[in-house]
Amino acid sequence: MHGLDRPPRFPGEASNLMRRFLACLLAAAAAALAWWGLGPRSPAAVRPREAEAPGRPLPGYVPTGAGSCAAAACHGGDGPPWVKGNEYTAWMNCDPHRRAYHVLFDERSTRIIKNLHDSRAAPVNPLCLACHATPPGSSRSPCPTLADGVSCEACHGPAGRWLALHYRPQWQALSPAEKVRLGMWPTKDMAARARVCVGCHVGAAGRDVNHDLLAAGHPRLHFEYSSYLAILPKHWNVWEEKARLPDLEARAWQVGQVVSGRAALDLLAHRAGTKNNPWPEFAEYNCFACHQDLREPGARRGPVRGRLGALPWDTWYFSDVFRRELATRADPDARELARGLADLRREMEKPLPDRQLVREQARQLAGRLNPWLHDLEGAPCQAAAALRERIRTLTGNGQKAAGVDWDQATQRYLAAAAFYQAMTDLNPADQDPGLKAVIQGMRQQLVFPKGYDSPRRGEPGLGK
Amino acid sequence: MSSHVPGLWARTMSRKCLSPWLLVAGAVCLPLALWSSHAGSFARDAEDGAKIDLTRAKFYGAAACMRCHKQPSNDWPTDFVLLNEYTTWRTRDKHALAYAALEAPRGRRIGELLGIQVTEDGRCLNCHALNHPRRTGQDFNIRDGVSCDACHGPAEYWLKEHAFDYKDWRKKSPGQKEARGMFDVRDPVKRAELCASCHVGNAAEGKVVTHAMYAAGHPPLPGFQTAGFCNNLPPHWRGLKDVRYLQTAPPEVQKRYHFGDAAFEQTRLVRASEAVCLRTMARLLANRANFTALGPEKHAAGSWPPPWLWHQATNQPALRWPELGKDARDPSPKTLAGRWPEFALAQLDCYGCHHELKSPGWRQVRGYAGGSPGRPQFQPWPLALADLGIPHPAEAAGLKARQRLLVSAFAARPFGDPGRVVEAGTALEEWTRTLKPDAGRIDRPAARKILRRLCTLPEDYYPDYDSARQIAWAFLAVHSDLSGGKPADTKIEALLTELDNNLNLTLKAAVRGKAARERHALATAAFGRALSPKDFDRALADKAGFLEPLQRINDAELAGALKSLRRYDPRHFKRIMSGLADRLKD
Repeated sequence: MHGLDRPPRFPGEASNLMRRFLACLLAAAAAALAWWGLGPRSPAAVRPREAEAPGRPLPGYVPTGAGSCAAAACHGGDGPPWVKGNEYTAWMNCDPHRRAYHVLFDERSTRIIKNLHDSRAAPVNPLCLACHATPPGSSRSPCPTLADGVSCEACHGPAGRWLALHYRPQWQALSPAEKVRLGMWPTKDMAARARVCVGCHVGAAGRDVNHDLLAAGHPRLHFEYSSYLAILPKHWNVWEEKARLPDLEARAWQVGQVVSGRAALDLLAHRAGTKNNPWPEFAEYNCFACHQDLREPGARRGPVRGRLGALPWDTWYFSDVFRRELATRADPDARELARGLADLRREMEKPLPDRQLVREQARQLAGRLNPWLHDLEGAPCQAAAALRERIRTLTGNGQKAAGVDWDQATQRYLAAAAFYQAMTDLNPADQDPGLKAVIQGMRQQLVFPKGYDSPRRGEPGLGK
Repeated sequence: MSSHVPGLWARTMSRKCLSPWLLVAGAVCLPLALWSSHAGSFARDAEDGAKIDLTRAKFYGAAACMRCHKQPSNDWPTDFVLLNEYTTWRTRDKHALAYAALEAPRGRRIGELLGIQVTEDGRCLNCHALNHPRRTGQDFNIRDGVSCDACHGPAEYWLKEHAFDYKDWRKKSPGQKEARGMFDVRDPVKRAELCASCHVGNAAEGKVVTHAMYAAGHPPLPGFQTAGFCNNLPPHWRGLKDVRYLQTAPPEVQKRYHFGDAAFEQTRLVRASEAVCLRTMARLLANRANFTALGPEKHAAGSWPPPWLWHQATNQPALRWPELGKDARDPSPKTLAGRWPEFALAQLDCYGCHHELKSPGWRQVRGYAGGSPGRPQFQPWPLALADLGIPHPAEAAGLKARQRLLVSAFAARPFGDPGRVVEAGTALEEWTRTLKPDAGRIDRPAARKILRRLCTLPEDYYPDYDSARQIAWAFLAVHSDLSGGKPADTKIEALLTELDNNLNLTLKAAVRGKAARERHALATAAFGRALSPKDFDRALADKAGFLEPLQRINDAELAGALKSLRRYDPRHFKRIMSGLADRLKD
């Protein structure tokens, strides 16, 4: 294996001088990664922050653009999407990320910018480009075009330093860590892949869909990894992947809960800790606690943990399924995490949460999620019977759960759906139409009435 | 013997009313009775008229008024008053049920959720009853809710005179009457101030509906307008122009009753109400956001309602911030600042947050001029007419500047910046004091101009539900003054009916009308046979026979009102108004 100080030798790489230069470059890149606060396992951090105008790249960030992947002999083949060599074509034809930039021209985006009283139109506004396009590199390096939207390098990493290497036989010999050091992100790893997604789909510093942006007209972000992954048109062979990880769907759900939770806490710490950010940040709270028409008889939800008319804090990323999952863990970190989350919730549900306190608590709790994620990586494949049992708990044996808000009910459904899929992947004989119908029934209750972006009465099951 | 006469008299009076000869007997013994029961206070009065201590003036309660104002008889003239005021109030007016609302199931449930005794807690009683426990007369009954003295003033020092020297009393100036404790409710500004103290809120007097109260089930306070609300009571008085006594009274007496503007009484009410509600809201905001000036409120000279009405410890933290509960003792500015979002929630636009989400919703299409999306704003309805330049086009620039200040105070950060809210609220309140809503006569051209402005809404103007109702009520009021109550052409009538039903405006609206009829039937059945205050008390507290059916009617009415709110779309409202504008051209 090659060490950091001794990069692989490729044909054409001639002199010692050159080798030293490359070593320096890699060291600088590693230092830069460390300086950004997130190690090589957080590829999502290698993106420009909001404050920085597009076109001002971060040091070491050298993208080449989707066009450099598109050659028919490379990834632009015209075969089926799951066959190697057709990735670009599959993305181009089916992937919604392809249209991320185009939507900035539509009526909704125009309205959002108008409502925010922003002078820069959406297609040139850094606030929008931070997620709706692949960040461009420096003016001297080839740029991904904005029009490509969220293209290859947004997820696979800037290819400037590995493009010329990754199709050579020696590439296969590199360890994932070495590939990361060169700028390619290990998207085959479930957690690393999730981290790429949450950078935009949960949000981060500089990519914050806060309540101001929502009220201006931006759709709500409520990310759940396993379901987003399931509906993404794949440009890789998912059967091959499932052969490697038979419980992929359930695993993705678990990993997603932890990675999304971590991202949500990091985002909260950022929101609380940045003085110019709105505070309290309404996007942290359950949308439908407030956003429902007043009715008689009303929902009469009663007090939120003892206080009438208070805003319930994060019912999405730390829903009851997350808490139940956390309760199954026995390590001291998990106990601290459960206690810490309760404290944080108490603080967040005060009329005016203390910014400093929230920032500190959120930071601490984010760190406590790491061991959990580490355990998940090495966890053995789950048994179909165990999954079936968990689905039973989630579905409440088909009984409609009383007093469960839309967020929690949706998280329950998504977990149940992921577990069911994993169960049948593990053992195709386990198909259970009755159970499937129950899960589909859960989904029916979550559908918003026609023309609405919210459930009637803020509760599932009352939309019809 | 004479000492027990008033009680006996009260118990038998309603029967006496039915027989004229008994009434005469009653009329003879009433002064004797009153004189004997209030000898102490009147004696002091007799020595020195200026020494009446209005801060202690007693509230006599509805039973004292019932004696004469239940139903007309041949023995008392009805050229001035109707003499059936009590009956109208008791059987049709919701104010008579204000306390019953606390005892009814919803009130009890709110109390349970909040952990308070709603029938004893000042935070409820300040609006739902006459909450002056140490200033009650002999027949006073708190179950009467918001009864006669609440709007007409504590009767102790004027009851006798206004009944037995009524000919002289009528000729007295409002100032002279106020010196004895009677309010000039014919003055549109004073009437509006009186209503707004509960219907908008007054933190100094402890009249604040908190967000926790709403969350516990208190119905949302609708936007208030004197003209519209008075017509829905329904009024127990005659319109000014129909008062026979005033039609032939000497000019100086006419002037005292604002008779000169009788033809445009409704329009004047609208104009006064607009200025007063704006002032009350601005004061409420400034008062609740001010965490440093905790002392008793300073009353400006000639301020209204007169300070003596609420002399007892106004502006205390427990009154200003009912949210504080047990923490109300000596709260530090820091504690208060930490609770600000909770205080703000009670004063913000309910429907800014409480609406189901649609994309694009009309709010997003409307935009957030001057404000910031995602930051809840104060209730917009008190500015609805001012937004249209009614009725102060000359001062429009001054208002706009102050309005912008307040909007930006709430846009500065979520829930608003309390320091800036105090500043902007105070500036807006001071500005409303420069308005003279009752100055300047209204004539037909002026009224027509207002009417036209009301239905010519700007293209980019998207009023919310409560603002639309302000506009619609104003339209109905001015229109009725101009038409003299005669029906307009059928197209206009059809549009007005559509407006009424869409916005649930008047007693003719389907939802409101049905509830009003049912409540009237219930009250008539419950009180029809009651003769004495005790009978009324028993009927008012009857759970199965009165409180529960009342709750069912009220709940159905609230459900209907919220439904019309839910269905509201400003684009539809604007279509109706532009339809009216088209019809008015010809």
